[in-house]
Amino acid sequence: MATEVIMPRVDMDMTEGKIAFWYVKNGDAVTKGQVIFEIETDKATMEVDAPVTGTIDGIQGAVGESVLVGTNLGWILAAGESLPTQTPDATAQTTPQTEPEKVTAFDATPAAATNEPAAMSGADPSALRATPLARSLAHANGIDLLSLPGSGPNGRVQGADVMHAVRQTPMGGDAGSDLHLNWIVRAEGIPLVLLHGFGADQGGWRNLAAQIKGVAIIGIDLPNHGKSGSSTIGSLDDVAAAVVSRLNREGVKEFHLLGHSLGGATALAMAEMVSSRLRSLTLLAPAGLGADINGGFIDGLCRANSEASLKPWLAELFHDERLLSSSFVATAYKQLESVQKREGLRAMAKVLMPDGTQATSKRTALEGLAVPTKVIWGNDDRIIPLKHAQGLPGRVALHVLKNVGHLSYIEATDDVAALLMEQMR
Amino acid sequence: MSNEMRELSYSQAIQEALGLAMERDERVFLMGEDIGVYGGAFQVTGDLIHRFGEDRVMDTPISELAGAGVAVGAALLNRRPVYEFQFSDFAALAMEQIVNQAAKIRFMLGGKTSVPLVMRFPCGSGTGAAAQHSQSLESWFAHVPGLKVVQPSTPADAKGMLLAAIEDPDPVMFFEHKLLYKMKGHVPEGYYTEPLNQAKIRRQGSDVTIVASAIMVHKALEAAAIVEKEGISVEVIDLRSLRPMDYSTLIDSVCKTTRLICVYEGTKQFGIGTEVAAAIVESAAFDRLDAPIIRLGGADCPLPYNPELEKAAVPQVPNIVEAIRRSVKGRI
Repeated sequence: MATEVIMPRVDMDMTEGKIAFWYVKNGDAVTKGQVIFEIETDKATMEVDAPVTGTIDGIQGAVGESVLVGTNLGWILAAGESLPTQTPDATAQTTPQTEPEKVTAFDATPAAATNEPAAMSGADPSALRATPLARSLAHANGIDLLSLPGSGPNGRVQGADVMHAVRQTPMGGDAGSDLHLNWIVRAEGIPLVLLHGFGADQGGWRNLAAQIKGVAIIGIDLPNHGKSGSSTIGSLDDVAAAVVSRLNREGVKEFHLLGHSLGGATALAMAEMVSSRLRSLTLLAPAGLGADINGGFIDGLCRANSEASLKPWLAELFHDERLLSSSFVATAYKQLESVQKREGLRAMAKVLMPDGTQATSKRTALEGLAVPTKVIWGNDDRIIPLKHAQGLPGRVALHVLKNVGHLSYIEATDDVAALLMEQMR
Repeated sequence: MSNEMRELSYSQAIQEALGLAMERDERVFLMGEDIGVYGGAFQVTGDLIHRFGEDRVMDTPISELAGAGVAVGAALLNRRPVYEFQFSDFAALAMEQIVNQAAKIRFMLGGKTSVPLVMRFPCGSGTGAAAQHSQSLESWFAHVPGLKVVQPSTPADAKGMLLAAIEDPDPVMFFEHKLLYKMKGHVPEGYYTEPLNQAKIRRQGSDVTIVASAIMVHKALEAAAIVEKEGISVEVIDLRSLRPMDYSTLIDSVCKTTRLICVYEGTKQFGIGTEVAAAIVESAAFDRLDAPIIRLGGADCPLPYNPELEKAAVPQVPNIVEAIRRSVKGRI
């Protein structure tokens, strides 16, 4: 089989090397021991010999490019050999210069080479080394892992590398790029980002937004909601990453964040991912703080085939059911009209709230959060129980609104607006 | 509660629990070699024989198999035996009664009866007692459905968990690390129980989770304090119970920190950390892992008598510190 030409490790500390010069080009015949390229490390410039005799082909890596130790730079073909269709996993082979890693009695077993057939574009997927966290973050943010330099051992891409890329590329990212974002109010200064609940969309913020003065307001439709496209959601973090990615694309760096219900859980997940960008956090009856949720409501919403069958479930949202207007029902039902949307919602509910249980707790997101944080709950919430607000960190303010159900921003718009203004002073 | 900060040693806490259980329930009695006038190989039963008499603090002949058999039989007849092994290593002699009888009877008799038995096992290395008196064999028992296996790490837990173990209707294997016997800590007065199925977060952190048991909890806490100065925030979870294991606490923690180190004294292979690591990889925490999991366990050899080699054969604080740095700084 063809012989690989790789970036060698020429000293113990070396993790990457720069290609300084190619002495050969594709098609050149080389003999074993002949100098084929030159590299620069932090410490020295060095010539690299051909390991075997044959014909050079498949050269990759331009002069001036820095690549990780072990990276494939080309091939030497013997007579009759052709270029392999896939380069072997760079981690599966050892370079002669590589010292075996020292293993003590307590050492971890060396991690197996990652060999996931990732559906990635560009470079060779089989050469990819990435932690599970990096993979899930990259997936959620639409980042191509193969395009990232890995800061871990042997170039392993770690979570921080992906998050760095997310922050660096405001235009990048596929997931979230199709989320519908609406500047409800355009103004100077740090904007307030509003995240709606399950089955709702950014249109529901109209009344609340009208009460907020002098602040830019952004409404975002979560995946599978409103005018946003359908996408497969694997976790709450996926939802959060999509929102972050959309905000990146919009060029929004810092923001005040308000989330209701599922949007609240999303906001908590965002607080974990991008806490340094938050200016304040306001959670209205958030999901993500406990296990219970009104499973009948979620199920009913996903299954309703008419406004009439939807209406009784929507009534659960209110303390004062007289507030359930026919236009509210009509708007809510519109969410479900398209089969694709409905399937998207169902799939999302199945992942995030399987069997009427909230799958993910984000309670710890509130610990150590350094921005003003308020949790606002109606005392008659029949969707997510008020008890989830107990035992939160002491610096989180809890406001329990009397005679209010799950939709405090509709049933107590003035109170929520006033509390929100306090947050953004 | 009077005298809130009263301190007892781990062995005093166990003795207090035994006394309270015997006062409260006359079905409770103690069995074991030299637990009477001699007060137990590690002086845990102390003077209980003088308080409760030799019918309730019974010295048994030097046959662990016979003793365990009597204990299982007594438990079947609704007594509450607490059987002390001099060293957990000697459990090997009593395995038939523990594994094939005590663990199975409730199931094989369709739940019509149970075996409310507690077995206490002084375990672990560090006393220069060589290969047959120093092992950590708790994972043997954790492999057997029908048993509960606990390993308290503090005096307060030792008392509360032992009282819970004696109340429990099923056989509970109670492991006491010998080096903890002299450790002092706050122990509440009076009768109380601690759950037998819950891990405890001993220290909160955000960069890496250490799951440890018994004496390793204390070593992990020491290591965490050292690396705190380097800006590394370590969460230390005390497993407390191996079977049932409190998986959800572990999973939540790893989801938060994204990194996991398991520290345990038993042989690394097929050990406690092996189970924890596998459970994490099977769980929702998989997608949150940002570094390979590290297991620090006992060396793959019989424990040496030589004190230096003995120390080298089980994880020590510097090993844990080094593992934390490797995990957090992406050096694995």
